[in-house]
Amino acid sequence: MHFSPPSPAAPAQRQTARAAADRALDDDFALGIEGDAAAYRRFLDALLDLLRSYFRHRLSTSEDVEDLVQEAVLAVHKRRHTFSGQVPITAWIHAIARYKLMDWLREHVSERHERDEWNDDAGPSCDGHRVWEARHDVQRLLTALPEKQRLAILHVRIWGSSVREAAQRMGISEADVKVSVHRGLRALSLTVLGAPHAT
Amino acid sequence: MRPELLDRLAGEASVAPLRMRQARAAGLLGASALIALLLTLLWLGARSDIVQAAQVPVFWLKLGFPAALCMLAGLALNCSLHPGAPLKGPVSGLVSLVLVLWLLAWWVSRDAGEAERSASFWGTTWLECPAYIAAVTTPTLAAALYWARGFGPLSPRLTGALAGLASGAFGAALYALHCRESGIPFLATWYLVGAAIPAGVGLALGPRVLAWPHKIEAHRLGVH
Repeated sequence: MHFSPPSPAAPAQRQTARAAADRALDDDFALGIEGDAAAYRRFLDALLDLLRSYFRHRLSTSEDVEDLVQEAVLAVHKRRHTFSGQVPITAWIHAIARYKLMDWLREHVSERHERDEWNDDAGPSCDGHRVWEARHDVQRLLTALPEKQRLAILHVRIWGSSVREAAQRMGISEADVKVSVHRGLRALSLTVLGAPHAT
Repeated sequence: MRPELLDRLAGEASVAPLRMRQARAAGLLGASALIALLLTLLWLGARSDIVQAAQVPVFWLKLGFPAALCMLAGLALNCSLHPGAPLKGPVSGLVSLVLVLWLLAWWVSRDAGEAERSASFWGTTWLECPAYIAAVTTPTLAAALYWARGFGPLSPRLTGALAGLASGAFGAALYALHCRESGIPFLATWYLVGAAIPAGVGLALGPRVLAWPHKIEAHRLGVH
């Protein structure tokens, strides 16, 4: 037989491996605070791995990740005498990492916000994914409009033609273009906001 | 992180176990509970009819409800002292206990007349009850905060409030030895207000006396 069904033992095995790693971490920590420097060093290495993967999933720049990893390692080290063994050591580390992350976010988000307010050159931040999403939304909304309104909006508001050019291309009067744009926008804002267009 | 720094941290890793260091604080906590009991008995005095009163269920409710509140708050406090321990259980226990008491208070006064209802709510000592509870609790609150300081609470506000609530509820149980009120609505309101005062004090003091070092002094460890 070529295909064997996925072995049911696999997740269980992974779980035991993980439990063993947790136990090793626990043991190294316990030995470490009793004065076994080598064990504590092993604990620190495992701690670094844990913290790196935790912060990497939550922050984008690697300098920030390293900053926070260092902060959290020092926090764990400085509070090592308060670990009671009442919770698994991974849960304790996780709680400290989360606390450090919150702290860091509070500090840095407000800092960045202030900086952006003063920095006029920065312009609106361009997040590629958001732009793509916005474009996608506009297209989806426009397809719901009648053909004449949709084309009028595309010509005048999106491609940037004048009303006159749009009228020539669409073969309708200028007044008709204006009315179509107006009605189209009102219909759009009704679907998006549930209220008439302001202008 | 630089490996030399890690080596240095490993070299200075040994610390005294938590249990040994906390023994003194735990002893202090016990002593403060004793002081609170003595304060209640010597300053306020137990009610003179305590033997007869002990045969009425309300007396035991007045003693039991704050005692249960104290236990649950202590449990929640303990969880908040160990980062990573789930708090949800003890906190929902606390909330349900209070809700059950309120439900009971509503149930016993559902058919009562206006005068009777007002009497069982206000009693005659509604003002002194919370004040005395807060007063006899002071030594316990101080000891509980000192004890909590030895751990590494990550949310000092919450930990402070829970330490205050636990000691306030303990004080309320002691106050039941003195208090002559017999209304369950009274218990459900003023005993809770009494326990809430030290809880508020703990909430306010928490960040000051329990705060986890905000920024590790990196320069002291030789890190840049």
